[in-house]
Amino acid sequence: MKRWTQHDARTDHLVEADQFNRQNRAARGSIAGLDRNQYPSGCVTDAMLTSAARHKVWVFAPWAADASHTHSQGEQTAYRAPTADTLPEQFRALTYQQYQPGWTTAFEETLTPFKGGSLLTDWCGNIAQQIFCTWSANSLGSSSPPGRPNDRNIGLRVLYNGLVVCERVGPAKPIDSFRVTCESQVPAGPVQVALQFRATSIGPDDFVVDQGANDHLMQAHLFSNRAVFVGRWR
Amino acid sequence: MKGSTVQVRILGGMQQTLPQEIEHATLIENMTLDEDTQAFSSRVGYERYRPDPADQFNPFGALGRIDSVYVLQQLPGGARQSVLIEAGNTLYLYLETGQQNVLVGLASRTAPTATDTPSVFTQWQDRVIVTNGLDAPIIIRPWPLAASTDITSAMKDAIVRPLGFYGPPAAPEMLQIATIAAVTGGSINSSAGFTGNSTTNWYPVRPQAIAYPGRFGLGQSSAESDNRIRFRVSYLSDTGSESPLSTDSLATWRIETNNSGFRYAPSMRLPLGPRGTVARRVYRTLNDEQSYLFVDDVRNNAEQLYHTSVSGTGATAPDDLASVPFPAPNARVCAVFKDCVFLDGGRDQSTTIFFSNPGRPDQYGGLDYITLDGRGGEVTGLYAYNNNLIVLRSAGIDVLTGAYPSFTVQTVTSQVACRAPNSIDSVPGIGVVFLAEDGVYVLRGGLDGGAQFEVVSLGVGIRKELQRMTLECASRAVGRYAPLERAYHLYLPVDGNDRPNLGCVFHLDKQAWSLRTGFPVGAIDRLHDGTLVFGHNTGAEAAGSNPPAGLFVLSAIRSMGGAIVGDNYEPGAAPVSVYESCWHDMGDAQVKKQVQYVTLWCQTRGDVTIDFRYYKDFENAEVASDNRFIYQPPDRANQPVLGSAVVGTDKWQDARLVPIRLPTALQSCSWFKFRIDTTDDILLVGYEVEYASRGSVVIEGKQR
Repeated sequence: MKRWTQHDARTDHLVEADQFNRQNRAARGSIAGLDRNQYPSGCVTDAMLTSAARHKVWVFAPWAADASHTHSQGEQTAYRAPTADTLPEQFRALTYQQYQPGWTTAFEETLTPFKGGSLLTDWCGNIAQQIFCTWSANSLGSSSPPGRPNDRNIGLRVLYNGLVVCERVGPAKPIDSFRVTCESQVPAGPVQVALQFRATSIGPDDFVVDQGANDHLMQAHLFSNRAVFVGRWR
Repeated sequence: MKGSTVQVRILGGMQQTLPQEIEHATLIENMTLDEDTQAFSSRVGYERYRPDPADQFNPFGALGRIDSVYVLQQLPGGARQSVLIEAGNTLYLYLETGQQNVLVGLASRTAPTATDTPSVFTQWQDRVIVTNGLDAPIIIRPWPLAASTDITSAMKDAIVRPLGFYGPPAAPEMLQIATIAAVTGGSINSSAGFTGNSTTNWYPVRPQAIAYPGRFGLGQSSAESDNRIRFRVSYLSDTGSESPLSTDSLATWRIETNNSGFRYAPSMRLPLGPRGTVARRVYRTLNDEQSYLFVDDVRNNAEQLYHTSVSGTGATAPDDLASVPFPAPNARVCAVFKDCVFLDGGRDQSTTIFFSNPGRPDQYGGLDYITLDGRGGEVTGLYAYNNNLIVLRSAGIDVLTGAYPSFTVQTVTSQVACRAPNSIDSVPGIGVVFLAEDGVYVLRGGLDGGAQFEVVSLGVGIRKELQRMTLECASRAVGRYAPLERAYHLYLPVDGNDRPNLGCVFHLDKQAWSLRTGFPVGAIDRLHDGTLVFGHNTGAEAAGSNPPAGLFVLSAIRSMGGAIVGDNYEPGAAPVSVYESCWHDMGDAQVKKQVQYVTLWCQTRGDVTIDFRYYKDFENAEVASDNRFIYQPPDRANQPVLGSAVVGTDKWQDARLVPIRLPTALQSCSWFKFRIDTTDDILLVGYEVEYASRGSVVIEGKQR
């Protein structure tokens, strides 16, 4: 930060070391004390910055085709029914035969380098779920004994380093799209992000099997997901 | 003949009362203390805040006098330093980030008259509250701000806004609730007769139809039941403050026969809040009840259509006295104390102090005020000090103590009155210093642990100068403590002037005063490094082309500002510094003395002339002057000086403390003083006066 005159040397005045030093200290301090808040406009260009100097964006669209997500095209694969067990027109998805109710990681990734600062997540995708037993005629009380409704939804949440930063009730329609956006300050270091879902667990009168084909019925699925993570720091 | 000597080994400050103590001086003008020797030095002056000579006085060239200046620090080290100035009728931000040099007009303000107090600035967190008694108080957060060319009016609106809420929101505009008509044996149809200004948001209540019956939808669902639910709304500001609650709006609907089993989610249009609103808070009653309960926060100030479908409610709404319309729209002064913002009531409620909720500067309770004893006069200043809030008034000083909301006030003195809130500052080891009508005072002490407040006069040494003050314009006086100089600077209007034109400097290390003349200080504040920055007291009002205008700093440049020469700024002439000793009577004024020598104890300064003159017996005219001597060692080789020293041959020097003996010849006198005038760089440590006396005394007094 700038400093002002500490010593004004003029003709016929003593050649004095202390006074010279005082002004010199002030001048050098002004230069050494420059910080990024005082850079002249435009003096730092993008070409001078190393990669990820101020921000980094991770885009997963479709989800990275690594060993665990090969050809998944943005599908959740945590629960994936065997081909032989499902109806041919269904997703190979979550069935109540295999589902362990609770929060399930659909996708996770380690973001690096992350220098500490704001991390924004924008997660969007589609869901499909079996909700028809919820509003079946059987639920309206005309059967005996009356059936019980099972309100379905797919809860969604985002975790940074194991901490929940955003949680939504999630879609409750048979087919729906969603978008979850959240931001939080995150300390420096690799950030483990997890995108999780939770399907409604089985109800007493839910349909779980196609009795004719004896195939398992799909209950919930996430597909064509996209996620963007924006890390910003200064 | 060897005479007697009077030695003054360490110089004191000014003393204008008689007889004077020998270490004191009659006049010390335009001198400061050298930090190494504590000697009086002539290294004073002022220079432009922005030193680029090619900038002329830009961007201040068109500005007249600067009425107030405030420096906001948002990071240590000055990295985020924002300078706010008020000139004419505009509050400006001097934008210098990224080496910009631009004045950004933030808000229109009423220009203070000569007798008005210029704006008072108070920091709250990383914002500034500005009060002037004429306009509504505003709150500013000047950082971050885009480059000047990109600043839009919307950006300015985002950083400047009025403090407080000036009224409750409008009541929410309810949409009608169109209940569904159950047709026996048929399907569900919407009721006829409702236009588009209605909604039909229904939820079943039977457990066979919904997993959580009763959680969604409001009111009664049974046949022949009437629902009457009232809603109110409040604004939440970006400081977390909550506005007064709106009046209520009623949502009403009836469940007809054969129409039971459904609850409804009323819809409404919420009002949009003023600048600074970040959310709106919705309250409602239960069905046909009176007390309001929290429903929800709408976390924006954009969406108007709001549906409330969750039957549960939160805490009880605050009562109507918890937040009232802003009570001090003409506040003149402000302070932050115990996390509350304190404001005076302005000219209409001049003996009332209002305070905000803790941590919520925009929110004022209906009972959050204190009425002061009327005898103390109007509030002229507020200053948080130790565990107290000092209330300076036009006829006394009160002290406010306690914690929200139980503050109490007691009177410290009814004899000292402050008219200049911008002169108030805390000086280390001294207390709160301020300019009163009859001098400079310090308030120190406290009320905790048996301590007591005391008001002590600090300006005795310069009493004669303070009597020159233009009392009518005393509110124009400005003062700040300068850590870099370890001195309290006070600039006040004198000799009938309508703006500050005399500086008085209290040197902390000597506990003594000196004067500053020729410094055009209109308003003053402290920079991050302890330097004082000031706004010019005339600016473009002065005659001539390119008159000096804008921001300047007090520094050691030994130059009084500057002028535009050939489109460039060039530093001006050196200030005239004066040291005038006390009137010495050598112990007995009636004994006649022959002063033979004055020996200055000073630091060598080079080939610099000592402009020496001396006086006797309080006569205005000098007895003689002598400028033959220079500040070089009298009995050693001269030290090299700038302009003739040879690089590589001459060596850097340390200033030496030397006695320089100056002869005097004044026949005989009762009192004696000497004076040094200089525009050069000098350091005066002490002196001694050598005199002889043959014992003759003054003759008998004259008779008619």
